[in-house]
Amino acid sequence: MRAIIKLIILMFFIIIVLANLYYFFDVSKREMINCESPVLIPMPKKGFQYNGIIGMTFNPNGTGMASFSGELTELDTNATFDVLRIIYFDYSIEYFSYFTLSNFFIKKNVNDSTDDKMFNRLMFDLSTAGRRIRVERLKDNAFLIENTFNPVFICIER
Amino acid sequence: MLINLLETFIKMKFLINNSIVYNSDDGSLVNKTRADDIIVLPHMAARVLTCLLINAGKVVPREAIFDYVWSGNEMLASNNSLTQYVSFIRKTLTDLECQEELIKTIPRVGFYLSGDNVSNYKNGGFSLLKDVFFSKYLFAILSFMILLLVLIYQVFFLKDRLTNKELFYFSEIDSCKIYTLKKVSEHDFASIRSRIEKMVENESFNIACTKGFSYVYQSDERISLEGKGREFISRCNITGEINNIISACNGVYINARNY
Repeated sequence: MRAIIKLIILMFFIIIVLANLYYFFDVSKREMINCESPVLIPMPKKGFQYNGIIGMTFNPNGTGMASFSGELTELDTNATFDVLRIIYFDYSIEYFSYFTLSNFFIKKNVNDSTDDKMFNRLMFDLSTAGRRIRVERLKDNAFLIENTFNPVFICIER
Repeated sequence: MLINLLETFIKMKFLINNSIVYNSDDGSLVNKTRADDIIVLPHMAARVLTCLLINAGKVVPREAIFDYVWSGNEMLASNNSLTQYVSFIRKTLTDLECQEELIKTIPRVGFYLSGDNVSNYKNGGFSLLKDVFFSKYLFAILSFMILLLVLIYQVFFLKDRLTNKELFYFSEIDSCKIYTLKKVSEHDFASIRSRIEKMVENESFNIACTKGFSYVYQSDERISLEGKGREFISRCNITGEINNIISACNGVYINARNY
């Protein structure tokens, strides 16, 4: 009987330790965020301007996506390129609010007329293995999406 | 492995017949009145005695002793060897001036050691087996409680891994309030306000002041010093006083050097 009680205590002990480890190394590195907002990003030095909606999704399973729906305008010629694409990625929260994105995979809509090099150069550089961003909560329903140095846009919960 | 792990739980000292202290950890027996005269039982005999002491007050079948003593060992168990070990233990107890025949043979069943003759030995004091549980496992219980508290803390207090960004009231343009994401010093007030006015007035940005809307602004440190760096402004409907909600944001992100 004593052995059974001890075994039960031991089992509880192991479960609590494993739950702690699981939470610390796994659950704590995930979030559930789903937001979007219109953004204007003029880039006169590069001769372009992006005007459209950027959406961010972070799933609790450690995957996420950044969706772009808008147009890139060449300022000199006024030529426009449709941007209709989703970048899928894996993410982990390194520490408070800092996210590391990796394993990018792009899915383009048939109407997307922006070539990948242009998109990488102007919008979102996918050439590096991991991108670091910061996501901070703003009020009850919004998030401030930041690159390494600055806030880029306010993303409103969908 | 589980058996070994369990064994670490049951290593303890017993007081036999109120005079002999048995340490199951090293198999040593000592009469309290002759502290220098220590007899160490052979390993298997010690396991047999531990098994009988743990089950004191009950008839212990031979099979149960075989399971406890010989499980995990490659040595073969036999009735004859068990009887020899029990005889050896009886003789050792007698040598230690225990006159009473403590271990009784129950024919065709096993052995019996009266619970009245056994108690738990604890640093010179005596307590019944059931009393020692919490003191012996105090460390384990405390560790368990700490781990449980850490888990509760993680689940309930670290649930939101995101930091909250505060808005600081800065100024107003027409009827639109301006908030910044960092406090702005008085020294920088004029230059920052000028930057914001310039951005708001830029028609191509399409963020002119509209009734009920506010601005959220943030810039590089370099903006006020050199007029260089990145700037971010967003015109939003902020209903902070009522329900702390932001909606209908229209953001602009620029490199100030180009404007």
